[in-house]
Amino acid sequence: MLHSLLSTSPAGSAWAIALWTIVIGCLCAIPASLVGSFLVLRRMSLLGDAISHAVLPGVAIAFLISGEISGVPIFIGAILTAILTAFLTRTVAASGVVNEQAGLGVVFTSLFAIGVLLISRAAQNIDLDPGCVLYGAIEFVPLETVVLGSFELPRTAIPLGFTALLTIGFILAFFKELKITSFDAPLAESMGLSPRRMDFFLLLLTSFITVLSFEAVGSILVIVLLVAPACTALHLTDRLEIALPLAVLFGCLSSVLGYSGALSTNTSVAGMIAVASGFLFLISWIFAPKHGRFANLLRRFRLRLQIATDDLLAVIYRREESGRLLMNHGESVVISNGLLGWLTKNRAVRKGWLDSEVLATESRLQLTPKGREMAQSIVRGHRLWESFLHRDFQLAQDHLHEPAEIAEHFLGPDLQRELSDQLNTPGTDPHGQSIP
Amino acid sequence: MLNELIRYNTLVILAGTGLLGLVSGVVGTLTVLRRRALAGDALAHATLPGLCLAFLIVGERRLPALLLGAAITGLFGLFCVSVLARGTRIKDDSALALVLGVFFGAGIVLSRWIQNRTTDGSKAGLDSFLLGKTSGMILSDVLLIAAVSAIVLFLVVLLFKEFQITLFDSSFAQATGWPTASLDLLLMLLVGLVVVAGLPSVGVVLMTSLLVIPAAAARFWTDRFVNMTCISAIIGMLATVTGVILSTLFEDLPTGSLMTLAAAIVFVFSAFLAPCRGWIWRNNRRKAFAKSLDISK
Repeated sequence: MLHSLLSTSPAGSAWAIALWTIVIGCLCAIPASLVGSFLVLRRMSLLGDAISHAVLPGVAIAFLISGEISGVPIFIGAILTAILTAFLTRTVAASGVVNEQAGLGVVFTSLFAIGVLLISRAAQNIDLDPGCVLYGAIEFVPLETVVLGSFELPRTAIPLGFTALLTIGFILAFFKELKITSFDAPLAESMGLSPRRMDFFLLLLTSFITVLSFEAVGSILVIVLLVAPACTALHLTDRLEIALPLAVLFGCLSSVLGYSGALSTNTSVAGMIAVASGFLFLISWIFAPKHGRFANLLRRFRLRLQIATDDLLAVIYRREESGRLLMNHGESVVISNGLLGWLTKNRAVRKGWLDSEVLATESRLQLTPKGREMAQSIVRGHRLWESFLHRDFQLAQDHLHEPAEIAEHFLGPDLQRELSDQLNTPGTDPHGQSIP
Repeated sequence: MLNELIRYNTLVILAGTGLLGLVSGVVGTLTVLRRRALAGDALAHATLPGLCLAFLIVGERRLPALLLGAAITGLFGLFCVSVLARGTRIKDDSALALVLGVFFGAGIVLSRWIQNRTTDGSKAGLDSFLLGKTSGMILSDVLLIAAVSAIVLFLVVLLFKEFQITLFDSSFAQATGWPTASLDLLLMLLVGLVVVAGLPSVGVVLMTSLLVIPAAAARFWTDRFVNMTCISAIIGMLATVTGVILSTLFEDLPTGSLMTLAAAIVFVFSAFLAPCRGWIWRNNRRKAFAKSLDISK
């Protein structure tokens, strides 16, 4: 369909159509990803989905009154029902009995049912194509043009551009208020900023964006553009000031990628933009530097390695205390011969805690002076913690070792000093061993 | 003869939808309390790519294959929700919206792909799943719903305590060693079973409403999990049965919408009149409190 559309248009304008389609996609993506970031923070991500179903009765009533199936009356009907949806949801959620999501579910399904009833009852010959509402026909948007001054623009570019500007203006003007009310509503209220007023404007804007865009590009695209770019951006950064422009960037990037994808497979542009934005999210979900899955796994592995090294040093230290020395490959209980064991020894050598010869030979595991200091600190933490648990929690002797084995890795010098002061600098732990 | 047939048909539809209402009332209670009221909605949208893929592979509209495909991508969608929401960054609602939109978008791409490949109208009906056709329900649909209901109810009764503890205090459940992640996945599986069984006969939006409205209405009447589950099941069954009876009286009205509206009326009634949590009670209490403040002044 996309190919035949481009090939039947006069030569030269095929490029213009392609370009305008991408621009329209971006014009939807900019306000949607900005407002969407706040919806995601406020746990209202599904508002777009709810509104796109709930406007049906408004559209039906507007049709019954005006007798037209497109144009201003339909738009007004849709906008009014969208606002009604948002506020009914808020009312249900404000009761505190069910949460926003359940409220949304109750409101939009009921409104949709009323809409279906109205249409089946009073407008049986109406040609409301649900496919067109859902899938959108962004491909055809550039074909309907108006002339503005010396420019020829697609008709929908004007309201979409206007909404984009309005959204940017609103967010610039009320950035501080939006930020505080989104992250800490009680704090905002105590400071005299009304979270409810910000909510009102946000819901109003969302209704506006949703209705306007799905007239142009289909509801599915709005639902995705409200959520995916925002989630992608919020995964990449902890700062809202950076997340918002990033979200806009990802929204526009989805539009470009989606269009090229649709062009190469000759399929739906709206569907492909949705898939592209999902793909971008997936990448950031996996590879984001701080909150990505990959970074998480790496962090967990590093911690595991650190704990294994700590344990190794502590074991060698305890053996030295009791006068026995530990062979490198002798006791597999202490150091596994596998990859982790090798990495552990490697790390200890790199940090200068063990002699480098343990890596190559079956020599004895011997601490360097620096390693002994480190091991001493770990064992000291362990025994201080045991004393603390014994004195302040009255734990039995045989229950002390296991919790201390966990806590020893997280007791820095400051905590150790504090523990020692509280326990009046004990000389021995509950088992009678001296605290180094 | 015709009269009898209509009565038989009506009975089949009553049995099927009544059971569906009951079982979605039960599962809906769990999802509403889990803060994933719209899981059914997300799943229903996530079935579209599966429908298309099954159609592409099988090459014709064969219901078991289509249902299987729908079930696979739908459940995969909910699996994604479960995994995404387990991290700290993505909340339940965002995970649902992401899966819903992206999967449905993929479904649209696939269905356009099918349209390109097949010139005849054999694709017709792939997207009629939005509204469903309740009046077309036949005995085999009812048997499917009955089988699914039996499995779901058995699992819910069996794991009631486990669900209770994970729904109300998930961190406590995790700390005391309950397999919260598996229970979460199991809950999503239950939603999937109910939606896939009900989707062909009642459609996406009605399925969503059956999973949300009875449970939300039941929440106004009680603070106890057991009671809420039972009340929600009863409301679900009442709403569907009322919808079917109304649609036999007014033949040209769509059954699905009547069911949703019956449930919605129960919800409005509950939200206003229920003792303690209903609007009238809360309002009276607020007034009484304001008055007590005035007197003490």
